[in-house]
Amino acid sequence: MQEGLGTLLYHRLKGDRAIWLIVALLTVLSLLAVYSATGSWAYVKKGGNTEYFLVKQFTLIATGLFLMWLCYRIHYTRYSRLAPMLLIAAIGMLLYTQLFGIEINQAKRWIGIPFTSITFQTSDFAKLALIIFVARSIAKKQDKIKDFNGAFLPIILPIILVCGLIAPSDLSTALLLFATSMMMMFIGRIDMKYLLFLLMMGMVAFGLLFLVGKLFLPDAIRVDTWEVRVRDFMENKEGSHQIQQAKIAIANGEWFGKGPGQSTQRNFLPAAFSDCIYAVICEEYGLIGGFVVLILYLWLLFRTIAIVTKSPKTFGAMLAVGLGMNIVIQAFANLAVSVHLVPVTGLTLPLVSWGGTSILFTSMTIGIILSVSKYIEQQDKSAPVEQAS
Amino acid sequence: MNVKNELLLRLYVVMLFFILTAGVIGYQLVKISVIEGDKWRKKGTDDYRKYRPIEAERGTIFSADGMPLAVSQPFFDIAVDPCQSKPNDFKANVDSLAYFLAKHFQKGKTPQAIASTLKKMRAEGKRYFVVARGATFHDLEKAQSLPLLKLGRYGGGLLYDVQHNNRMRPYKSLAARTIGVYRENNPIGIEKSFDGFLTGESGKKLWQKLNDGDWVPVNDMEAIAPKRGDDIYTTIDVEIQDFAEKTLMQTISKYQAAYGTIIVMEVKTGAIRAIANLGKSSDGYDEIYNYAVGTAQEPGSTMKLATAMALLEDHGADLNTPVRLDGGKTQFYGEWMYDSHPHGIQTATMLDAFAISSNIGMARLADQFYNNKERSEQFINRLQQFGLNARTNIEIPGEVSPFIKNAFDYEAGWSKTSIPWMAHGYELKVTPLQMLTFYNAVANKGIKMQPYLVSRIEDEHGVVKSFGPKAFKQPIANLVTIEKAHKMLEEVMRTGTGKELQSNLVQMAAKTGTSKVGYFHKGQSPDYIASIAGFFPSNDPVYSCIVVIGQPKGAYYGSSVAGPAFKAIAEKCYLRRIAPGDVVNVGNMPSSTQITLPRSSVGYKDDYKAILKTLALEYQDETSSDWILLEGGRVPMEMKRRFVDFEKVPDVIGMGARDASYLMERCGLRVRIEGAGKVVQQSLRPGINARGQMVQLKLG
Repeated sequence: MQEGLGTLLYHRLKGDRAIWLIVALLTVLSLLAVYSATGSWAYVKKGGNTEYFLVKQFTLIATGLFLMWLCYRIHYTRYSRLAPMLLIAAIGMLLYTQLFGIEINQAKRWIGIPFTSITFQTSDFAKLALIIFVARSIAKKQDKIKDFNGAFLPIILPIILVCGLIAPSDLSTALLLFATSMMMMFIGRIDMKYLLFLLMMGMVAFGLLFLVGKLFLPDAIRVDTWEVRVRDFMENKEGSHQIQQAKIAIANGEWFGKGPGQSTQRNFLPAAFSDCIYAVICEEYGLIGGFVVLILYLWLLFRTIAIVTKSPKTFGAMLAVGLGMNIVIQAFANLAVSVHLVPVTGLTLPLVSWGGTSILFTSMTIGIILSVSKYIEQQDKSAPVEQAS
Repeated sequence: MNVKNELLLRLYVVMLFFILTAGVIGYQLVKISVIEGDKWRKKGTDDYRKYRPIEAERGTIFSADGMPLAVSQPFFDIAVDPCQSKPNDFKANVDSLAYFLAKHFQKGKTPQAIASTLKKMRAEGKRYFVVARGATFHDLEKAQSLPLLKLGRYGGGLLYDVQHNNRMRPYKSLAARTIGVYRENNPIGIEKSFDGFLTGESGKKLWQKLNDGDWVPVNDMEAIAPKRGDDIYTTIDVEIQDFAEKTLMQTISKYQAAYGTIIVMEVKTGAIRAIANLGKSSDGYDEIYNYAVGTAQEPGSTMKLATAMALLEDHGADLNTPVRLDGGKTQFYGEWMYDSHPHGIQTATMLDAFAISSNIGMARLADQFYNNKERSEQFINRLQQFGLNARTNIEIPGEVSPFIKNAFDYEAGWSKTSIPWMAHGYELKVTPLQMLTFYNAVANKGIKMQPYLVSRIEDEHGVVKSFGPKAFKQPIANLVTIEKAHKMLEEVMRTGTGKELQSNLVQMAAKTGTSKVGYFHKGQSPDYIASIAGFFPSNDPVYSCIVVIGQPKGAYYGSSVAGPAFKAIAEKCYLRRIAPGDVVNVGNMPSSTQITLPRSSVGYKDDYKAILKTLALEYQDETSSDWILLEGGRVPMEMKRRFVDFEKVPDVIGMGARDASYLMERCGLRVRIEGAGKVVQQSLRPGINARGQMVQLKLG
């Protein structure tokens, strides 16, 4: 029966099968790690109902897989047509969030979906919209891609606008998105001197934001948090309490780990199930497990880059690599925090961490990548000749 | 460079970037886990962090009327996390905070020093500035009101934890032995018996050892708040208990006794309203042992009630059955027996023999009827039927079992003389509480009540467990016997050993007891235990009471040593019952209730003023006299002058007993009061000269 289902899936699911496999592996890991890491949290919050978080995570992942499948079914060229509308909607939502958003953990990043109790981070949606829009612009302007006014300017304006709107409440996400966009433009053959110019522009913009936050809007712009985190990182050689606990977890795992569900650090490690889940994975599955996770994300990136090599310069390729890089950059950022390479960011491990609606957006992102890979495969078979879309 | 190559080159650069990043992360993993592995694993051991328990606040032990008898007072460690507050808040408040900290908590330091320490700690990211250790709740409240700290835990960085709890006794030694002590070794009393409820559940909080060796609490979500222990509501009535202790203290001090105990029990429920225990300690007398439940001794004459009731149950004798007393000195089977003093009476009825507490009378009646093969066992069975061989199972630990030997149990010392001696309270042992439980059953028409000290247990949501009165199904004797027992006990107080104790306030029914202890040591003057057990008011018993005084000096009769204490308690309880002490205005008043203010009332002006002020009623006062007539029925009430001529009999109609007798005595009259309420009749007409005469006031 299981074999039957597996065979059926193998034949029915088109697109890059490696990406499907990576998703499947990360999903299983997510369920195992979240179930283990929420154990003691469950005692505090839900009176010992340890299944509560497992069931909730399972439901989210199942919903995510369904959304992934939907996005995968839609021909990716449709996203190109929707791009400008999505971008405008995203900017509108970001503005709305800044003004009327819901504050969770002292950060204003969420809005409620009307008539429901569901909240989501608007930046998750804006990320998707911006990357689709940038991919479309790069593909469209390939003929004059080295041009400043013709290509560079129209591409960077929405990037600066969206990142600028996300940055006050969620600097990490904004920086990630900025980096993703830069890399997309880099792959899209934008002139290096313009990219350097953009980097400088970004730094100036950040400087301005910092000053405004420091002098005028300390409540709206989380300058304090940034300072504390960077200071913690710079001054505290051993790491903050959270990072020290994460390191203890990683060290406890040694090479082969203590085994599934055997983490003891989960009782001491703040945000063990979300920001610091990688440390719990390392404790339970050892360095080996830690490397496997690292390699899975790297593999995901290589698969999206492979799409570019198959159909360079196209919207689809740009879209796939942009989305892929965004996920992997976030993943690496999360891992880098856990191993004390960068200051605390608050970014979750995509597809693995416990956590609400971001799982859904990550699933949709992968669904779009799969859609691209599916149609490029079909093009490979039917028409080896490239067409710019 | 062609487009294809340029693109591939750039792709490779991106790939390389990610591979390098992955490599750095991988290296860092190895570094943490392998190279620095031992160091981090060591930090994960208990040497560097541990969950410390947060002691739960112990529950309070309350009296029946909700007065705290034993409460826990928490002491706190208070600290500030200087890194927690927002920069603007910190900047604006740090100096004033330092000023108040120096003023209230750290008197040795200057505000400037504290402020600079706080600023330095904030700059260095240090998060635990100790404000005070072992501070009281009052201190904590003060800290919570200071600048910055009033922004709370997250806004201001105020940290506090319960360091330990101290047990306080607002009423000092009141019922100390019964409330008990909680301690590791040898806990006693209710504190021990109900420890499971009182303790609560301790919480836990993570503490981490810093590099400089300090332990600081870590703010983490794993911290579990402690759950406060449950409250215990006892049956103890503070007023009666206090009075019983004072009375006991006076009594044993007067007779320099070795120890004493007084128990007051509510007849219909078995609730213990007072239980006082005092014993000789190095400095005077103290609650050092729970004699009431922990000592079983030969009770002496109080046992005669059981003997008489056994005979009545078995129709072996009746109240008017004559018995020979031989003038107060006789022999049973070669052993001499004496009455307490040589009275010269040759023959008396059982009722009279009981009333004068003749040992010979009760011994002879029991001996004649029971001291044979067929009936000896029956006597023992009757004592068991009265519950005298049973433990009371009172909730506090340390109760001693009574000892009553079985018939013909020669190993236990049964002999031919056992029945006559048991009949007047020897060769058997019971505790004061066990004896009182028996007398209480007699008072309660033969229904034995389980004595109890704890009425309910409450937590923050309400009653967890309640312990109502528990009656034994089987009456201890039939009603005819019970009625005759009442008659005998009343006779004791009317004509017998207790006639000196008569009270014009309350009718009592009781039996005195005087037992010799250590009487088998030849050549040594014997010690005595003086006791009295009974109940009041005799026609409708409300309380039963036993007073036991061990080894009094100078006098040893139960009636003269223990009797006055019994009488004092009876009068106190009686006055307390008629006093308007019960709260009637707690909770919502049913809408059907209408309160009618009295139309008029006479008394001392300042009292009325106080009352009217308390009730927030308006009044007009245009008089200058101390004594007034308050005219009610309308608002504002009016105070009218009441002239008092101290040379003549005043008019006290309408006054309360206290005011009336005060005025009468002021005017040189002696007062006798009947009834309760306000004066409705006075035997001397107002206005006449009658100094030195007796005036009778009838209250109603």
